[in-house]
Amino acid sequence: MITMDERRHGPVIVLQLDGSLDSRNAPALEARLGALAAGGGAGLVLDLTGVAYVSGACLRVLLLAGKRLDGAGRRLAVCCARAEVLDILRISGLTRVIGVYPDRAGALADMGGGGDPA
Amino acid sequence: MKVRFWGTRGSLPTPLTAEDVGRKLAAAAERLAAGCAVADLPFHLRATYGGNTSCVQVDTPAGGRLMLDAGTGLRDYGHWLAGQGADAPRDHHILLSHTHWDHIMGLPFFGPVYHEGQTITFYGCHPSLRERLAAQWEPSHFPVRFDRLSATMKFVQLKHGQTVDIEGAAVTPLAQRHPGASYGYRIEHGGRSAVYSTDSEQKGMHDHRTQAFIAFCRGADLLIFDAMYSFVDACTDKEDWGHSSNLTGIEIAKRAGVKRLYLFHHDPMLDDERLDEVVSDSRLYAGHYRPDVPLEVAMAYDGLEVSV
Repeated sequence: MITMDERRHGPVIVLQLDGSLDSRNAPALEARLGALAAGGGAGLVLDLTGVAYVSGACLRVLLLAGKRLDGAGRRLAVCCARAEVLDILRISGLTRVIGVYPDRAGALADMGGGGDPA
Repeated sequence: MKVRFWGTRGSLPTPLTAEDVGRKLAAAAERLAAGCAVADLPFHLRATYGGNTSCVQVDTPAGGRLMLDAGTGLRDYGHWLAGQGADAPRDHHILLSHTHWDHIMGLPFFGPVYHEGQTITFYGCHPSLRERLAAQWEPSHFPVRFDRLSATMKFVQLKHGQTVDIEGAAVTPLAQRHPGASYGYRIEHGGRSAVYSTDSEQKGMHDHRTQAFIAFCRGADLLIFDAMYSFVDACTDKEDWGHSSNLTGIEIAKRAGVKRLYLFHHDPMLDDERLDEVVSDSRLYAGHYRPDVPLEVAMAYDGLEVSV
């Protein structure tokens, strides 16, 4: 089970994820990111504070979402990843193609988000 | 069974340069001067993963021998055979995953093809195997004609999913996703099993062909797996080039209950230091992914021998 909490910060959407990003949760994550990618805004930040684990199935979902956003001139980034999750992102090569930030404020500042959640 | 890797590189031979060796020596000398023992040097400083293309020897305890692919590692195998004198076998059994050049380019330099009394039997699932091999001996590519070779050449057509006995081992081919198609082999003997799977693109755990591959690998003692690219490269720029990643290999191996995973078909773009990092990262991922399922992860290298 994974929970996804969505907040808007100006033109940037932050999606806070809690749970395991494994193959069982990949379809739900894919559907949610697909819907968000179809919307507007400058980009999407995934807050991984509550994520303990990422498998190949969800890495693929993140990668495809990143490509889709990039194709629309928007950006995908992650923030607040634990060390072990960051290891997986790096090993997969994902950190070469999407933005990685240590905290949410840094991600929002870089992506043009700000202000109170709307 | 005993498995010896003669060639582990993908795509094309990748020799070290003088500069590469010089860098290794300088870095090793610095560490040794600081008190490090030779055995404690990282692999990339005290050795090399090698640069020969795909060729793997499988010996059964009953004396059978299968060669998997005929990349440039086959040339070194031929030299080693020449040193065995009268004990060297005169019947050679070579299973081909496919006939892309890195898997057959050792054949014109395999000594036994030039000697009478030697028989070389090729096994594969592709049609017209003889014509495919003979093509690389055309005068525009090589000075000796295929039909002038002194050894006896035989060709055996295998079928996807159909188990056959070769040299006393049960051999089952599996069709794999690769441009032009490739075939993996499961080899079983005396209750032990090894799977050789190179030039195979696995698209994800829910893909039906990957699920079939997981079933094919079920319970294998050893899986030799094409991990040429990073996960992201395999899914993006190099998608549909017909290769897989270390992460995918680990997920498949754990799902299949494989005991040992050997990463294979190394990208020629990766030097020894980077390959050391790949195996280290791979072990890290194996610790994250289904940590309750044991799996030994290692990097194949030219000259490595493994008991199965």
